[in-house]
Amino acid sequence: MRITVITPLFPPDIGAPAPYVKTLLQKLNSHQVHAIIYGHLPESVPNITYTTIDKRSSKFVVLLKAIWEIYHAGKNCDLIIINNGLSTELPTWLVSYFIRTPILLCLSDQLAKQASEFGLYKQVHQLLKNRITGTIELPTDEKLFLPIEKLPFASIDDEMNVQQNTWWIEHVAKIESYVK
Amino acid sequence: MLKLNLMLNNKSIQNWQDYLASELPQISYIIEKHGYTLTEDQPHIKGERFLMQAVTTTAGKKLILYATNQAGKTVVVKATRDWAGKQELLHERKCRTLLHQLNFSYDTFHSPTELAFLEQNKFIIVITEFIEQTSSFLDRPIEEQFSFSLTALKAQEGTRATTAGHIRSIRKVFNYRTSADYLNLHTGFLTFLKQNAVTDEIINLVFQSHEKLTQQQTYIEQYGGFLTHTDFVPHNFRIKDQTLYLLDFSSLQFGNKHESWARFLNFMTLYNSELETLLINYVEQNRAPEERESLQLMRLFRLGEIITYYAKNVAQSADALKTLNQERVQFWADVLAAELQNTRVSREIVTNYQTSRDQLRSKEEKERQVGLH
Repeated sequence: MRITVITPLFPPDIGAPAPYVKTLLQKLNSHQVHAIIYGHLPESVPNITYTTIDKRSSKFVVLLKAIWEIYHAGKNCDLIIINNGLSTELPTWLVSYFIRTPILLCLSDQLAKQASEFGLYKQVHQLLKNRITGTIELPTDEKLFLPIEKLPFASIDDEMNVQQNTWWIEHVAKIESYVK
Repeated sequence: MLKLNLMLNNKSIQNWQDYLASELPQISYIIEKHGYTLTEDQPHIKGERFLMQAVTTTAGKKLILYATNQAGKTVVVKATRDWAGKQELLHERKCRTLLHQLNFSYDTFHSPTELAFLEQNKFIIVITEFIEQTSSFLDRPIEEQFSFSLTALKAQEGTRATTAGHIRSIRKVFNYRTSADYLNLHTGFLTFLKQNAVTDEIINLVFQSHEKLTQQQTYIEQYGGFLTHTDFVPHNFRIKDQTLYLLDFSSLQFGNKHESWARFLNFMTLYNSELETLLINYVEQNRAPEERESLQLMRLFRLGEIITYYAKNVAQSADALKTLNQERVQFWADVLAAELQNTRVSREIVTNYQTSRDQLRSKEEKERQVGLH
């Protein structure tokens, strides 16, 4: 299966969506995955190809490059997973009129989700929602899906490890179910 | 040569004492009018304080003093009438204010409350709350040291300027270092060391690190754009009620996020190698391999910096202090040699250096060091 993942945040960026997307790419690596990452020099993930959109460019240049990349990667794949954020949602909405690939919106960024309830972003968010195949919202408890840190004076929480593994298996299965 | 060194050292001390004699009465006069009295014992003007000048920041001349308010509560007084010193105090104030306003910062820092900002008789004086701590950082249990240091280092990582807008908003106030800037600074260290009669062995070590920094510049760039504290060591923060307060905001800048990690780990090589090991293991077990590389590169950069710092001090000192500074240059070169092999310097070298340092330190410097970390 060919999957394109679009994300506004990716390590070394900070904020919960970044490590989530990196883990997602690792979990999806049995598929042919291409990531479109808004960033400069992202951390590498084995077996994943990626293109970057430098956020330090002007907003207009970022938008144009995003449209170009999403269109070219999106038209030839089986599923587009877009992580929420105005910078990813606007170009994906525009591109959605020119491709037939199913689009899955992942609400991985709680701050962006809150911002999508107001102003221009609200309009874009609504327009995109009318064009997509489905939406996935991540649990508010980040411990369920973010990598568990190994700390020197803490015991390993086996129960949490099991919960995480289960959550990720179900999460990936749910994502795969969106492919026609 | 010896005579020249002695003269240099004596001149530096005399200048410092003249400076204190001219500034202290005036500072005392100004702050007394606002209800503050300088305390008799002033640890931050003793010992080797006269030699201290940062290598990579434009540190000005300023005094850090203790005073008491009318209720007898201790406060911290930062005072200067030196132009660069004033810029530094104003810069620190701006940094503190902007940091609390950044809309892309995930974590905020706690800072001591500013009690007074005075501009009088050509002086700028900033009076802040004194954070009383029950024990110094290094006297705390290792678990607490690890937890506090990791939390503070993560708090710095919580702020990253990634977009053109972010960079615009911070560049007016904060210094912004790219990987090219780090390489340029390191070239400066190497040039200074070559010109200042440091041994060939040390020059070769710094040259090897320069080669490595150049070859792996991408890793430095990859972790750039982060808020980082260039002097992140225990005497620049205090802990009260399980909250860490950052004392020096003027050393904050945007750059490679491991700059503060590297400074902290290099410091711990000397003061607490167990904590150093724990933090390195943490990075190796929880972070990307590229991040470990970046950390190592910044350690090499900062070791080049500290060797240059002490090599400069050698030129300005005499007698026991000169010998001590020479020992320091050699010690940090030994640390650099180990880090180039990605190993830790042997405990024997650390212990020998500590013994020698304690014998060579002046009584006043020993007093200044009490409870500092």
